[in-house]
Amino acid sequence: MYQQEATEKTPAIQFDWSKGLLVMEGNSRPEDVQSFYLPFLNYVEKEIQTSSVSIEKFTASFTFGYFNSASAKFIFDIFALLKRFHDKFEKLTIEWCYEKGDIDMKEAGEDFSEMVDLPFQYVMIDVR
Amino acid sequence: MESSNRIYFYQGSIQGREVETILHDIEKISAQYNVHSALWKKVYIVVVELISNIERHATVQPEAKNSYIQIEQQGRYIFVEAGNVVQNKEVNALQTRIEKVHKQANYDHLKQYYLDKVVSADISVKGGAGLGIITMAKICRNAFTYNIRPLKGSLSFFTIRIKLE
Repeated sequence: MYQQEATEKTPAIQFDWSKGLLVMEGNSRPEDVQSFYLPFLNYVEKEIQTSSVSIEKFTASFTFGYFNSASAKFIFDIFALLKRFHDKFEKLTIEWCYEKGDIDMKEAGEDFSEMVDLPFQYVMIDVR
Repeated sequence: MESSNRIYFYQGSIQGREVETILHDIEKISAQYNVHSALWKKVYIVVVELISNIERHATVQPEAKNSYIQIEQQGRYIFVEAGNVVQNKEVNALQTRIEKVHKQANYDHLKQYYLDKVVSADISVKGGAGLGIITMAKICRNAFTYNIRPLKGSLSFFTIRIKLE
């Protein structure tokens, strides 16, 4: 299991292969974007590659307030990784959550979906 | 022409602690102005990109203190402007990058260019993915202008002005 608490500049990450769950939530503008994302990407890749557990349903949920342009490259890499291993799960669900009225964030999800050629489910959240 | 109201201005070095100060200030002032939250979010994201660029590229001392960020409101538009000193040896690459973005014929082309760049991006030694300009261009639908003015010696002053609505 990979778990990281959110900070003002980095999102919370929860990845649990045995539960078929990945959750990312928060903002993303790390001072050193590689140091933040690469250990996580390497962990996920190794976990999926070496796991003997068969996952029926894997759900990846993303809720960003905002992310900077350097983070976009690594967020794409997460989707690319899920795509690469899509035969390891019977069903992959990607939820892209966006704040009500934040059309730009919804479009950002649509961009990633197009880039990686995977369907996303768009979830509008009402933040008060 | 509607009059312009400067709602934020910062001039000085933009590194580490100053970055956080600027972003906190911008969050705070958002409540004082009648700007739609979706528009303010665009402003915030553009400022994040601009100050990241300044942090990465305006490393020339003591001229770094001339870096600035300005936000103006003009009717339903917000203009975000930034300026910083750059080294002349970086000017050609900067101009080429901007012109590639500027010459995209319409939003669909710009979007496709953005998608291609994200997929193929590499992280530079300075920690950037080379996506800052194109990300801002996408947010403002290519409504930005820029200027590079030679200074003395090996330096130039780069300004960029982004129109958001």
